[in-house]
Amino acid sequence: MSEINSDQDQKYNDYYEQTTNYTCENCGSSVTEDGYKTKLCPSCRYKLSKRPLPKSIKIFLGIIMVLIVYSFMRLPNSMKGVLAYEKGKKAESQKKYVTALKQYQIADKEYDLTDIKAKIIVAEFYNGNYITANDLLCDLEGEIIEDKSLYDQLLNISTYINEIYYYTDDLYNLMNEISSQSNDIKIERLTEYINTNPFNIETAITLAGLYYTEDNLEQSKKYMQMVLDQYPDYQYALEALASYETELENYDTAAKICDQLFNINSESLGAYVTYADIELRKSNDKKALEYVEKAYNLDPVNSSVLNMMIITYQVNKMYEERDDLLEEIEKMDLPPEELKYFKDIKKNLQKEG
Amino acid sequence: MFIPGIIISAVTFPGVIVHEFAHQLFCRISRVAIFDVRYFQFSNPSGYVIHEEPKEIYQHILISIGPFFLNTLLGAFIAMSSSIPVLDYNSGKPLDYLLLWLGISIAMHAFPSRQDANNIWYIIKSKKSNLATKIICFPLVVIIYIFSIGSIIWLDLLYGVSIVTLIPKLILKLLV
Repeated sequence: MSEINSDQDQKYNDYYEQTTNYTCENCGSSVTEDGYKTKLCPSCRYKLSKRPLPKSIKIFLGIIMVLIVYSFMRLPNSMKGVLAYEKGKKAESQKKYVTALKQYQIADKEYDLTDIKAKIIVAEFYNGNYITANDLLCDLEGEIIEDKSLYDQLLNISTYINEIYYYTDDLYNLMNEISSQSNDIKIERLTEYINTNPFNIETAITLAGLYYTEDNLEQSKKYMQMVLDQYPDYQYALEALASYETELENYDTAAKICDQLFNINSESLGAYVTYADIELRKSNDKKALEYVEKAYNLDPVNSSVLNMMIITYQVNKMYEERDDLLEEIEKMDLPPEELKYFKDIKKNLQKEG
Repeated sequence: MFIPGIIISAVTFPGVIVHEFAHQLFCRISRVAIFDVRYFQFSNPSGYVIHEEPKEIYQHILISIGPFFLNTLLGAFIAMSSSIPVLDYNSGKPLDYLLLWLGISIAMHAFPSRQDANNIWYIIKSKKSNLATKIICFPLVVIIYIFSIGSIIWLDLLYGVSIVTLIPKLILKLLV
């Protein structure tokens, strides 16, 4: 019996071992999944794998998700300035200074950084806006520019502008003295001055302008050339000379000067306008429209571009476009004298019917 | 500069939590039973997930390297709008610094721990794994070990910073 008994005990032990080894360790169910070291029934494995997250972790992950969504939402705005700055640098490297200036101005609104302000000065300078560049240089005084090449560039610009707009006390007094005089007297007195100060740019520019108003283009050219002999990249002088050559019907010379301008700034508005003028004078009206539209797309609030645009619309008999543009100009934030000029054009056109 | 790991973990605790959550998430996806989870603690290890041994090799790998993908992506996404303004333009607002800290913290805990590497190493050695698995997993284990040892020389921090700066820069390059 005892044997029998002991045989029965052995059988019971074997059975017990088998069932405990093959039952779910979590709930004791006899159905376990094959292939796993840990014996669990499908339901327990599912439940254990779906272990709930504690409330604090749910809140933490919720905050993380909210911040990610927020980060994505503000991405276009926060990247706006960065993107503009990078686009500006790219445009600058391609000598596209109108685009560079626009992009730097966008970046400047987003970030108060000296480097961006310095880049704006560079772009203004290469767009020929020397006075604006000079004003901005004054604003930047006392700021530290770590980029050595940018610093050198600003230093060169500053020196260049100061040389061009160099006023001696004598010249300042002379200008004040003759300010209310007739053009003849102004020309006489300034010629006397320039004969003793042949390198004064301001005097040469003023004389060129006075001769231009007197319709003496040859003399204007002479003085502008005098300026360019000293400063061959002076954009104002190049633009003026190009327009004198255009008026004198020296179109090839004018075109060469325009190319010189494009070489300095591949988006030179002055060069586009002069090219449009040349084409209009050659009766290539459509070609003129192409040039002036390029300039308009770059800077739709530039007075000389707007003026040439109206003339080109007129010559191309695009009266509706011309009138729409004149309407638009009235809403623009232009200086009062420029606004008056365009209003007068509109009035004259209305009179003509 | 040597800073005890526990202090680094405490300062970058969001990364530890996300790391452990990633392990848990991939256990859930792989239907592997979880017995215990510690999302963060002030001792070594700073977090852990104890789970059963997965049935398939891919489950093993997924659970071990899951945090690498989740932490990297979340770290990059969360700091995306802040990293360039703060790091390149020095013009961040307090919120930008918060997002940057979160991004770096999360990304720097992307690398699997030495224990995760041990788990993969265990699979490589097991009879279940074939030659292809061994070839794929071996370099993975080596890389994990390198980063684990490299954390002494701030390799994990370097990874975190790289993720939050390089990804936005890459996007910027594409946009420009």
